[in-house]
Amino acid sequence: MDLKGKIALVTGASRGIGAEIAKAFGEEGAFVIVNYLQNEEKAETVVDHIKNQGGESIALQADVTDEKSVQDLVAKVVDSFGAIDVVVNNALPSYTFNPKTRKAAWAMKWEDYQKQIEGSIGGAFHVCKAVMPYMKEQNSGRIINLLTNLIDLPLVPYHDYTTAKAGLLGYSRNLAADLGPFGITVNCVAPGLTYPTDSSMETKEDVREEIARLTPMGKVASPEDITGSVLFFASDWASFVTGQCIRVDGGLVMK
Amino acid sequence: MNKEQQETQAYFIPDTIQLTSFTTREFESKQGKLILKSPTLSGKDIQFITDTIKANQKNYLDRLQTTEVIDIVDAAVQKWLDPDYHLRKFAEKWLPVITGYDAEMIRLELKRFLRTFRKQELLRFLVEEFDDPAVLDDFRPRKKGGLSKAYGPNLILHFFSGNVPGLPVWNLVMGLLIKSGQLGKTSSSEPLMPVLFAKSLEEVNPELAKTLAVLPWKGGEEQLEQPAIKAAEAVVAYGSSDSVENIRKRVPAHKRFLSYGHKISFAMVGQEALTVDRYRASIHRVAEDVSVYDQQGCVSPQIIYVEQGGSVSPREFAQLLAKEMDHYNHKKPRGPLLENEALAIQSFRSQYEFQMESSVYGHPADTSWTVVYHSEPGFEPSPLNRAVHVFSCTHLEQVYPKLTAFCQYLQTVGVAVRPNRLFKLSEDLGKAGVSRVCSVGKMAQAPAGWHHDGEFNLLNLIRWTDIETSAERHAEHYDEDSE
Amino acid sequence: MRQQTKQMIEQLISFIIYRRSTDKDFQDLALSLFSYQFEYNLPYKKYCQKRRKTPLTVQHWQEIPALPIQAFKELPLTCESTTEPESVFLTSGTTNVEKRGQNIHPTLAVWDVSMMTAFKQFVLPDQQTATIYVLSPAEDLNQQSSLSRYLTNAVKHFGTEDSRFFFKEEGLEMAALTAALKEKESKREPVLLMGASSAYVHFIDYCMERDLTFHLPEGSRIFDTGGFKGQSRELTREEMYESFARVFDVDPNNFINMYGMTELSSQIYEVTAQSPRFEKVNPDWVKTLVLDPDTLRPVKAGEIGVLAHYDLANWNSCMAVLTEDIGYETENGFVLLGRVEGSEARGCSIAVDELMKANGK
Repeated sequence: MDLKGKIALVTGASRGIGAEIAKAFGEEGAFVIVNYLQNEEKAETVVDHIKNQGGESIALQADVTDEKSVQDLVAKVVDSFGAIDVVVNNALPSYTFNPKTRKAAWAMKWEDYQKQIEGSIGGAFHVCKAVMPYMKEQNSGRIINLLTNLIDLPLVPYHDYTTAKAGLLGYSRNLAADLGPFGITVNCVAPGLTYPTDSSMETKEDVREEIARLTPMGKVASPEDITGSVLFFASDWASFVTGQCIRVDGGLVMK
Repeated sequence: MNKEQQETQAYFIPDTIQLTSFTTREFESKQGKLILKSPTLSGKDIQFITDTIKANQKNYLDRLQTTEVIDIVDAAVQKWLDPDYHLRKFAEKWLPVITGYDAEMIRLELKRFLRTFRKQELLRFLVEEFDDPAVLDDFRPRKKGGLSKAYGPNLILHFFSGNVPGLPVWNLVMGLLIKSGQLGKTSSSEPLMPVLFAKSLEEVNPELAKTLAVLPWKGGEEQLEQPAIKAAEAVVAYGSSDSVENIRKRVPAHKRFLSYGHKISFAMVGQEALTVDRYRASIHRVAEDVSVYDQQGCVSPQIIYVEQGGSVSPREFAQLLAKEMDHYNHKKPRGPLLENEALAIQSFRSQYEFQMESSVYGHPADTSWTVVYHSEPGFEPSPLNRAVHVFSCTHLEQVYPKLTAFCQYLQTVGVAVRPNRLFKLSEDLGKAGVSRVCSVGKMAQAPAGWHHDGEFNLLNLIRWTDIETSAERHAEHYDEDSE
Repeated sequence: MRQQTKQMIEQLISFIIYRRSTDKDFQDLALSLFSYQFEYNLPYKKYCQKRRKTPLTVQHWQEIPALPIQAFKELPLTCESTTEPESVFLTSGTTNVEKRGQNIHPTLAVWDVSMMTAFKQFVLPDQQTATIYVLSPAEDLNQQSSLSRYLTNAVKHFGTEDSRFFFKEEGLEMAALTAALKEKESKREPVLLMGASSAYVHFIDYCMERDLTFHLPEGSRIFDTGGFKGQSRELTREEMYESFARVFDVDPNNFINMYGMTELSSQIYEVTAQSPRFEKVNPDWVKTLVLDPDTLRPVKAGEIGVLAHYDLANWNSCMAVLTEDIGYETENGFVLLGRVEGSEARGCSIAVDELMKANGK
């Protein structure tokens, strides 16, 4: 898998799955841009980790829900590194995944949905829009969007979050259709419950055990489990794969 | 697999003539070795061959009706349209080895090309140039009185082109339609196809084949070309301005001389062809035009003018064209290049890579395709072999001033515009010197009856004899039975 | 001048002077110069980034992207930005006068050391000085010519008192040169003739018209350089050497041909006495790669391709330069086959040159 010298941007990469993805790219020799919103210190930890492994990386702050902020980020990346080969849309709006305190359907407000759509689809949209001209110019590019397997199997129905992620799948497929002729692929990775991450801290033992019991592979995902599929979509092995979604949940959802 | 070795003649002469001394040229490929056998010729040989052809023309071909000639050509072409025909299989096997073109591309294009010589096309071709094609057989009445008959040259000397396989077939067919004996000199880059087609004609009608000779020799060989030109009534030459000029000055003024010099072609894509539902098809067509026969034909575009205002910008057009050319290259890879050809493309890329107003899109690992985008319209030739310019323009009409210096070189323009622009655009392009306007995607497929380089094909070769009304009337005087 | 630059220059000069020539030394210095140029030469950085070649991904000097000579025409290539460089050498610009390639030298320190070290090695290995007669302009007549700098340096550092330049503002003083050569001939004193190949052609023509020949004393040498570039009729190298032997009566073992480019800061030599005919040999701080013109990857040893020179002395613009010359590798160097002519179209599509002629370019 030759990602050597490739320029990869991972949004929301200061922690959790994003941080693991960034490290994985670093190990493969890619030049990794660790994007973060607030936690500069944690982002730098990721950068240091990559550098200590002999890779190259920098941390850049940007709010993906802010169009201008994203455009500046991407312009800076291309200006500094001359290209942008891979984008992983991993950032998500803050959300509490607590099966016990989640809102029921009848408690949902339209604003709840709006906020998630704004964060999930809007964030990816701004990033994709910003990288498109550069990827077109290169005649190549890889866009990878992070979803959730809850869109197929709402074991815990987080209505607003999951609806937005399902929308992101639709967005990704349409994007794949228009960008294919330019040599740009758009694919999705849909993890199952991934533990431990900040987002999943409030998902307690009992729920995790229950999910593990239902999962053919017998456990919930850990952040490192997710990275392989992301690297695959970024690699030459996936050069003719676009508009696809891989569930990485130990076989909980089979599709 | 056993490597096959095949030997074949790289020449065709009337079967009554024996030549004694030969040289060979060898071509090697994965599938085996081809040995091309060519005669070592003297001026005397040429004289003898042309004398024989002229005698056979007089005694046989000249006496045929044009419709009979058409039937013979059609029968030969029908053979070629059969995928199992032995000469077609031979051509499909060895032409890629000789020319370096992709085998699949040759298979497809040769078939397309030969289809344009079936009976119905040949009839159409004749009607295109003669109101009454029977003038080639007999004196035919004229509307204003009197009668006329058309005579083709008793011998045409061809200097064939070698860039696109099969093109000389067009010249041979043209000569046959006007019942001329023919001697063709092949180009060293494609010496095979005219010989094979002559063989097919021989299979159909051995007598007619005796009016044909196809011979290879090195261009400019005075001791062969001098007697050949002397024997011919008309000379048809392909080549660069220099090589055509070199032949022209040796042809006496009283002989017919037709030349097809080097030309340049381009395409124009209007914004109406770049709507969101159409742009992919438009780009696909342009990529075909650029890629076919590795851009070696004079009909191949070297420049694409792209109008702003469509759903894809001219820059995006260039990016997408690059990808389409990449796909084409996967299907039908470009042939191998000589060092200077490859370096010309590298140099072409470097020339524009460092200029602010242009962008270069090229295969990252080799020279198999290259698109250079320019933000302002201009007129620059490309180094060919699938390298093309894309010029952005606010309106296609912006292009005309760029063309003025190149009037004599302009040939085909592939267009993608709406009906109410087509006439105006063609009118202006015609004024600029362009001789052919066709659809993008069809640039490489000129119909048999086209005005090649803006001229008649048959009419320029024939001469006329008129019987005037006075002679008719006067003749009546001597009718003994006249009242 | 930044400190890093000063250090780089020092390192380069000591590499050249001490001629430490292991491949490892070259490799180390090439990679560190690449990092330096990648950092400070912005257009070159972009060029490398587009090819995903950075100091992090390049492991071997052969992977350093060679910059096409066209870049020297289009862009100011410089690591050390200075308003008053010591010299800016320009290419002769025969094809397009408006677009001449330039090589900017903030200081000529490295250039001069490179020139003199190699000159000593290839031209005067066995003696300290020589009487030098020069057929081409000196530096004061043509400040933008790297060749003029070269010739002036040669006379200044290696010429005896009686060395002379015969090219004046009015052109080559043929009669004076003839007289001077005749004098050397009668005194039996050897002389080193130096000049551009085209200058020799003019002088040879002059001699032939007058039935002039010389019998230059033993130890005389003939040094020529460069192509003809439309400045004189063109001769092949064989014809050139034959003329030298005929007109000057100098043994072919005393012919030296120098291959230089404005875009480089070092020269490459063909010394008939030292290596097989037509083989060009690099000084230790220059390496030449032969690349496949289609892929720009190194060809198999001995195959023909386009030349890329890696010249450590070219520290300010770009060490790795992709030429349009073709040649092939030999045991000690390479053989130059010449500059590639414009592409001759196989087909009936008009060739570039023909069309440019039509446009009066």
